[in-house]
Amino acid sequence: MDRSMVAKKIYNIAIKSLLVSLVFILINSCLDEYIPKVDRYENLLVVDGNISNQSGPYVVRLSASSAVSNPQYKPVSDATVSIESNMGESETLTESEDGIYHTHADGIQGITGRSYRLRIITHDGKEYESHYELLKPAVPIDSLYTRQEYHQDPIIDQEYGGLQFYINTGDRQEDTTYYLWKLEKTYQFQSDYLIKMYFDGQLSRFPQPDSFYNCWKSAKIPEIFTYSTVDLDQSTVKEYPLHYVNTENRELSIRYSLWVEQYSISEAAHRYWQQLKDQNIEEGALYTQQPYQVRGNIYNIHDEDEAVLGYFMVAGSDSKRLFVDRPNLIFNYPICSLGEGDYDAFKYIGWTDKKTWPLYVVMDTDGAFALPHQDCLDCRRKGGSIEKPVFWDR
Amino acid sequence: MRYPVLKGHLLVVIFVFLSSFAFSQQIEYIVPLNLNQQSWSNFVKEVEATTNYRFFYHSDSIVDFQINIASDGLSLEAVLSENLSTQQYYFSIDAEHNVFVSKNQALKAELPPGFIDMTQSYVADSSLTDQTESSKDFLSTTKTYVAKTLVVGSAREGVHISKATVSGYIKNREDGLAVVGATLYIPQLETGTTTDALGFYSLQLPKGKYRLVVNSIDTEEGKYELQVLSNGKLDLLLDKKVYALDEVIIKSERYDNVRGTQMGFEKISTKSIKEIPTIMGERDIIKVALLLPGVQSVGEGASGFNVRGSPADQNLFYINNVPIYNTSHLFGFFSTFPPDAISEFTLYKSNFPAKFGGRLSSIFDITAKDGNKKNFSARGGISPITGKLLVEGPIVKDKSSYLVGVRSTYSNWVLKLIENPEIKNSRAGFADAVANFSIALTPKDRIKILGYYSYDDIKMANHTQFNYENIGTSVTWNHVFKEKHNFELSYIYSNYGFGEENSEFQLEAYKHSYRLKHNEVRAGVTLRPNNDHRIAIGVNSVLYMLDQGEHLPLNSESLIDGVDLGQEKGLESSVYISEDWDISPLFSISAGLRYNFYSYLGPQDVYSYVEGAPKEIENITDTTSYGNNEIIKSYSAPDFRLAAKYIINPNLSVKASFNTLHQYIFMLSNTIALSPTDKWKLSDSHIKPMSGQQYAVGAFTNLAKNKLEFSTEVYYKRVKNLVEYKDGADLLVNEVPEVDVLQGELEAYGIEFMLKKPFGRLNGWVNYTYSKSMVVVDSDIPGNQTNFGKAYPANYDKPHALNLVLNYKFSRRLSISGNLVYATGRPTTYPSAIYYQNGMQVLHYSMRNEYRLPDYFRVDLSINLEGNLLAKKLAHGSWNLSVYNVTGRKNAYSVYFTSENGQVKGYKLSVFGVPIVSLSYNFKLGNYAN
Repeated sequence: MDRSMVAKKIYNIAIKSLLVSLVFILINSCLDEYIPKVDRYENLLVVDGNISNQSGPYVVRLSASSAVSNPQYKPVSDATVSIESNMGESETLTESEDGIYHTHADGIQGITGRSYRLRIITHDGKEYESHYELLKPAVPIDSLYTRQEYHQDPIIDQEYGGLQFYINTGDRQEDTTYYLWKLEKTYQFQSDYLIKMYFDGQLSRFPQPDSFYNCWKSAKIPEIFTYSTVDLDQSTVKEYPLHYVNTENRELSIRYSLWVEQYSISEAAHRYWQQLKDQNIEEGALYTQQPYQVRGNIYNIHDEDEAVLGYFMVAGSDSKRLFVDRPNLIFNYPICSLGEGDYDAFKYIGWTDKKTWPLYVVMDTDGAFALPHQDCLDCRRKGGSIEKPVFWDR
Repeated sequence: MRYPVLKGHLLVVIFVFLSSFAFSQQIEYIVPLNLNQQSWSNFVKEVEATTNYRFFYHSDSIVDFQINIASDGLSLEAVLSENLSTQQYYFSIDAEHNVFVSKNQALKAELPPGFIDMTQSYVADSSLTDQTESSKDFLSTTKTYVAKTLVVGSAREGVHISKATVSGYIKNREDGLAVVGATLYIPQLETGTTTDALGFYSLQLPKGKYRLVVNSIDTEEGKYELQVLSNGKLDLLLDKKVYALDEVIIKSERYDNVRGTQMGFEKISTKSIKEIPTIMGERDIIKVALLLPGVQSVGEGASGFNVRGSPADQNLFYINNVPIYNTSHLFGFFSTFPPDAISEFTLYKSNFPAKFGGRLSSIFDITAKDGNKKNFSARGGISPITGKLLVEGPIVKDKSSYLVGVRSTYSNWVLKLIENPEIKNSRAGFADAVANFSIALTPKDRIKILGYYSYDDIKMANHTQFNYENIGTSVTWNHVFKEKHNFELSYIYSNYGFGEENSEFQLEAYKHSYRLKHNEVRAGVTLRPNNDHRIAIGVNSVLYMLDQGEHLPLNSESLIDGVDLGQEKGLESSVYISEDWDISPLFSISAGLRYNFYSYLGPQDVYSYVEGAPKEIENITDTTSYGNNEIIKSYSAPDFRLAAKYIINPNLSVKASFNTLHQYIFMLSNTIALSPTDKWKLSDSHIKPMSGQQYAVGAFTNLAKNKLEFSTEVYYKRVKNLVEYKDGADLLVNEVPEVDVLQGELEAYGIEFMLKKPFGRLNGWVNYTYSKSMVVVDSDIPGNQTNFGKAYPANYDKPHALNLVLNYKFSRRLSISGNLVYATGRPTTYPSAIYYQNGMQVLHYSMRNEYRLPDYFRVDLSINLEGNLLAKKLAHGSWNLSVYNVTGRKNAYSVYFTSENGQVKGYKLSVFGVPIVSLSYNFKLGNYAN
């Protein structure tokens, strides 16, 4: 219900905007870029961290909010950050990088049934706390699987094939469980050419043609997946749809891995994530709902009205990784092929700027050299790493 | 016969009735010394009370002053002569002891040649104008100001009574239609009354002779000499006003501004808005309300009004007693009332007559036009959007009439002009119709039947279809008894529904429907025991039947599950009594009590929730099933209505009022503007009825010899149990609305200034309002708060609002009009910062309505050209050229944000970003004046 309601809401908004645009076009409505002056909300404290029943170290990131017109990540350093339990345990975290604070491996450990809170004293002396939250029992992930599906592209009126990830949870111990899933993807992809020669003032043979051929890329999936079992009778969540990967890029082209962390969170945390999710699809014009401010569970102990952003999450967690090979689908991502220009470019390789060296050169099946766009043969240039991740299974 | 003539701005022609006792003996009246240092008005009262002298003067033109009596034993003539000359007043006394007083103008007691002099004349100034000129003046003025003497009753019947009741109808001479809201005023007694919806009036007067002055918006002023001998009937015919002489723009009755008890009240007639610029050529009487103080909308073309800081669902729209639940065509660009079929509307915004209830903020009481009782007539018009036609005529001449008016969009040609196939395949149509029958059964019994229909049909690019309609009817029987009391019985039916079909996403294709049925019986009696008291007593009962609709898959491909959102039933009944009491000519009060009984009825399944926990699905503990018509929950409460008026001087009065109200039906809407899929919902066992109180104080004054009317009102109101919504609530498909509803409080206050020039070549008004409207939804449970329990400005809170409406007539045929509108931008919630959570960029919003859109400013102009002024012609045509938003200012309707490549971009949406020019043509049978 949760999901379909969100979907419905998007559709409603879309329809209403269309209706509105009709009426508006009728009478010459217009849109102009407009940046309102909003400056009261920069440099609010943002907390992003958690403690779970998994063994530490636990990480808390502190940052400051930035202006809408100039989004940037601004770490907050030199704060005193500690995690406390209702049983009197406490640990002050260490700042390892700017704004990143972590516990020690042998420090505080999250134990199911205990409550935890975060305390922060910033370098200018402001004191913040989160409310105590109970560490709920972790619900195991029963299974993680994919299905081939065709989804409508939200912008173009066309369907694309892809893989939809689903999750089934194991039995839960409480009546109502609130879930949050955090997803991280890693995929292997390949360049379009092997490298034959390289040029750094003079042309040399490239010793290992497939050096930059295979890459792996990891990234957090910037989507919110949260669910409440409030209106479920059965004790497990079945077939909850997580991320969908389409065939418009190289993510599924070789091998794809999804790392899922499943958290059993508090009702308040669920509301927080659900609200963030609502806000992120909010858009539009005439009949849109009121956007609203969302605050997490952190507050200034001397000034409850100060807006503090983000959430310190206390949750039982389980995790699972799934690998999938290239599915039997039609892929639509662009592939490089050697053209006239690439052969010509090779002829003028001597004229190239020093700064662009080394330049890698390919040889076609007829033995002719070409200098294609370097992205086509160096997978690192597309954000990949040639280091195979430790968890990669083949 | 003799005619004393007063010249100048008074323009009073007094007809002295010749009778056998006209030559009564002059007895010298000695003014007692105790009247020394009395005010003029007291002096007059005293003299009138103790003698048979009667004073005639225009109270507006004589400022109160102190009477000086130098010594004992002076005659009235001597005292008047002494006192009035120093004040630049002139007087004369006739044989019947009538004293005529005028200001600044030499009194012309001399009569046109041929009249017999029966008047003794006293002139305090010697500069008497010559006779011939005065006779010319007299003749030239008699044409417009007809003087007639009318005898009511007979001397024989009146032998044993001292007071008599005069009642009857005031009608329009040309078409025999009732003149509604005409004021009858007896200057001698400083008393008067107004005609009701049937043109009926009743006056109780001591036997004697009076001057009666009758005024109304549509007719010329009528002045009559009355001789009241006993109870009797007096029907008066008034001439239709020739508008070229005196265009009435907006008019609460002339006396009302200062004299009426009513405050927070505006009356606008369709005729009076003829020149006001229009949007796309559609004249819209209801939208003119936005130019009045205290009336706002959230944005251009948005449906719904916000009256004195209240949400749009707190207004009740009646057309001849039929409530209309959706008053918007095309999402709000036009209202659903065909303008030709409407005669006027009255807006009550602070002091509600006890017969009205059920909404907290305002009543728009719209009156449909009565058909012409004399002869057949037709009119019509064409604008870029619609064509319209109205026919009217007698059923039985002089007794019964019909009127049928229809308006419809005539094609979608505008859409077809647009190249975009999405729009080419779209459709946007609407229509409305009013049929009004007025049938006189007997001289005392009248039946009125109104039929009303409005329809919208909008289709978007082959995949989304909207339609909504209002159907309504009312049958009203009016009976006059004992010549002064009035009984009215009505049956009222109203039906509102919408349907939506959406196939934009095949797998989610759905259809959705909603319907509300309103069945009402209303009975009321108005009693006038005497002139100082007016009592209204009545009952009414409304049965609401709501079908919250079904959300069903549109076709077999759709995967959505059908949901039946259930039915609702409620019964709202009220009894009321009110009394208007003129305690003295200067001080009057109006008090009303309305007692409301409301029951939420089965069949229904009602959930119970964990006590002390927020109403959430997971907190449901139990379900109780109620049978048909079983009472699930009852609420009852009294409404108090109190108003008082005190006339400080003839040109200045102060008024105050206190009103409480209750509302049992509300709109489920959490969008900024009302949307076509918003649903009405009844109060139930979980959602309490809203209640409101309003205090208002005002001062009303006429300036510059009544050419200008100025008024100011201050109000303060509170609404309890205001319906608000949890953040992010989805209200279209919601099986359990109570889980998304929160109830808070609204506090609004403001001051309104209005300066009106109702008449003249240049007429119009200017008003300024400062107001504030704040909402707070607080609770101990965080989930039951909005905005963290802190007060926030309501969506329609626009502190400064200025409206200027001007109309200038170059000639009878050519006039130009203009509007100027300024308002503070509406409050809005802006994205205020960006932060990162779990690797995601998150948009953070400001507090609710913390910021404001840019201010609103608009100027409109229009030119009206009437056809020729020939008296004899088949039809009269007129052209109206309107330019809406002349400056092309891009007023922000909303500011919204989209994320483009990780960059948040803000956009300002303007509805009318350029000047909108439209030309419309209207015709009617007959000549200009008809």
